[in-house]
Amino acid sequence: MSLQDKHLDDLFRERLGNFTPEPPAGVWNRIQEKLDRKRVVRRMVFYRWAGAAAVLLLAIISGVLVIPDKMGNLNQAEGRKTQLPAQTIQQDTPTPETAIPINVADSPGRKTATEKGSRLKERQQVDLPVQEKVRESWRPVLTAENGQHGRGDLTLPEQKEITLVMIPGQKLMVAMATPPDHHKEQGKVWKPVVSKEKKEMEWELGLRLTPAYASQSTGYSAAYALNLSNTASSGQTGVGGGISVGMKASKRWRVESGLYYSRSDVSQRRTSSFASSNADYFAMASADKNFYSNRITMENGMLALNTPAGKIHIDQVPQQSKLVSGAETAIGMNTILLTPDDFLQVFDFLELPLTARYQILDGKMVLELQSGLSANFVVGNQVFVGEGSDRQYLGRTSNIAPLGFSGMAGLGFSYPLSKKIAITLEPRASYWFSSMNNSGEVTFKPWKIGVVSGLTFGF
Amino acid sequence: MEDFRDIIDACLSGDHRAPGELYRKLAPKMYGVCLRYAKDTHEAEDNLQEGFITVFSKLKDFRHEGSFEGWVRRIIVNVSLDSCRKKQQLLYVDEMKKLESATGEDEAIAHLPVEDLVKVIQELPPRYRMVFNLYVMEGYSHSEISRELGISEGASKSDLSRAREILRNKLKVHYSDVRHNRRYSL
Repeated sequence: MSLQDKHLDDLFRERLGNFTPEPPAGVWNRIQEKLDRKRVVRRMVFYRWAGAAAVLLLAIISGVLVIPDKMGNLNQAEGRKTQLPAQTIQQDTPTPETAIPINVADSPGRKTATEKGSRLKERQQVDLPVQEKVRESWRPVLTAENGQHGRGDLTLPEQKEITLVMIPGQKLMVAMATPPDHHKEQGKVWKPVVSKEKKEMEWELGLRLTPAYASQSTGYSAAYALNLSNTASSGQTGVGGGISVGMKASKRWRVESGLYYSRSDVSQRRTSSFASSNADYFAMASADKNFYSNRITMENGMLALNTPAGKIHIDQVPQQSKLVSGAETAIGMNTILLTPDDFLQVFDFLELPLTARYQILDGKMVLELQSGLSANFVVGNQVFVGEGSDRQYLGRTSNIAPLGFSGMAGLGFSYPLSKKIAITLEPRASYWFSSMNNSGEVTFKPWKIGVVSGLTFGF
Repeated sequence: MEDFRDIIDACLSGDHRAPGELYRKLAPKMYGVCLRYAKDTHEAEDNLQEGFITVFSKLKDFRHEGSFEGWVRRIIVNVSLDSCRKKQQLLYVDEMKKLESATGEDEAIAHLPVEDLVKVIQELPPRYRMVFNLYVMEGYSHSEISRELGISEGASKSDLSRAREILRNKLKVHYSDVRHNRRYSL
C-alpha cells in the first residue's frame, strides 16, 4: 500500500469515524411494529403447539378412557354368554380382601366350587363361571399371586385351586394360588377354551387415498397489496394418502384418528398482458408481454416477491427470467422480476385428525356422518417457476406457520368385501381455521374438497 | 466507552422504555455505518431497521464479554453485507471506465461536507463499496474480507485499489463542482 493510499484511508477514517447522522423518525416506529408482530407470532406459535398438544392429549385420553370401557363391556357381554345355570355359591358381602377359594374338580363333567364360609361376612350369590359351558367362551381376568394379571386362555397344568377375589364395584378377577397339599388329588388340569363365537369388529385399520381439489381463501393488508401485481391464484387437484385407525365407541359412534400426507399446489397464474392487469407498471417491448411480472422488494436481506399466499423469498433467480431494476412503476422506482411461467407454491402437510363418526344407516351398506378436527404440520415449502419437468426451483414462501388447524365434515359409505375387509368412499370438505401465513399481513386459509377412498380392515 | 449493562438488563426484564432508549443511544452511529454500506438512504434505513430488530432479538445472547457497541456494529455490518450479497444477484456491477489517476483529494476530503463523502462511497459499485468499508473503516485484513465476501484475497486487493481510484476521481470532480458553485453563489 502506497503512502498515498494510506493517507486517503486515514482521511476517510478521520472524517467518517464520528459520523453520527440522526436516522429518520419513522425507522424506530417500524422497528417497534416489527418487534410487536414478532411477539404476536411467537405467541401464536405457542398457542398452535399447545393446540396440537391438546388434540393429541384428547386422542390419548379418549383412547385410554374408551378402550378399558370397551374391554369391560366385552367382559360383561361374554360374562352374560357364560351365565351359569346352577353353579352358585353363597357368599358374604365381600370386603375388598375377601377371597373365595374354589376347588376345580377332576371330573370331566360338571365342575364344583366350594366355599370357605369362615372367610365370608355376609352371604351373597355369586355366579361362578366354572362350568363346562364356560369352556366355550370365558376368558377371565387372571391375577397370579405375584400380581401379574391379564386376559386370555387359561392353562393351569399344576393348579389345583382357583381363588376368586371379589372387590366391590370392580370386575371379577380370578386369582391363582398354589393349592394346599391336601387338595392335590382333587384337580388336574383346567383349560378354558377361547370362544369361537363371532365378535363384532371393535377396531378398524384403514388405508386411504385422498384425491382432492384444493384452493384457499385469502386476504392481505393494503400495504401488502400495494406490492402485489397479481391477485389471481388458482386451486389444484392433488392426491395424498395415509393410514387411519378407528375404534367403535358404541353401537353407532366411532372415533377415528390416523396420519395422512397431502400436498397442496397453489398456482400463481401469469398475467397474459400487462395492459389488462394491475401489473401494468411500465412499457415493455412486445417480446416481453407474456412475461409474468411482479415487484421485487428486499426483506431481511433477501429478494422477496408478494403473492396471495405470502412473500416468496427468492433463493435462485430462474433461467430465462429478467430482473429489471430501476423500473418506473405506479408507486415509484422499483425492481421487477419477469418470468416466462407461472409460479407454483408447493406445500406438503402431515395431517393428524381426530374424527367422530355417527352411523345413520345400518345394513349391508353402512352410511356414517363424520366431523372432526385436524392438526396440520407443514413439512414442505417450496416455490417453483413452471410446471412438470421444466420447473425450476425459485425459493420458499416465508412466514408459513409450521402448524395449523382445520375442521372437516363429510359422509362415509362403506361396503363389506368380506367379513373383515370393507371398501370405503367418503366425500369430505375441510377448511383451515387458522391462517397458514403468520406474518400478520396475509391471511391464507386453504380449503379442500375430495373423496377419500380406501380399504378398512376390522379386527 | 459507555456501559450498556443496565439498559440491556432493563430491556431483557421487559421495561417498555428501555429498547427506545437503547436505540436512541446507538442509532445515529449505526445509521452512519449503514449509510456507508448502502447505495442510498432508503437501503440504509432498511438495514438499520433489520439490524436493530436482530439486535433486540439476540439481546439475551450478549455475554458482556466485549464492547456492546462493537457487538451491535458487527450485526449492522453483517446485515448490510447480507443485503448486498442478495442484491448482487440482480444488480449487475457497473464496470466503470478506467479513470485517470487524480491528485488533490486531500483538500477535497478535508473540505467536503461529510454527507458528500458518504455519497461518493455510496456511488461505488457494491463490491468495491463493501471491500473499502471493511478494509478502511472496520480494519479487516484482505484475508478476512476474502472469507467474508467469498472472493480471493487478490480480488479484495484489486477491488480496494479500484475503489480508491474511483473515490479519488469522484472527489476531485465533486470538489471542483462545489468550489465552482460556491464561487458563483458568492
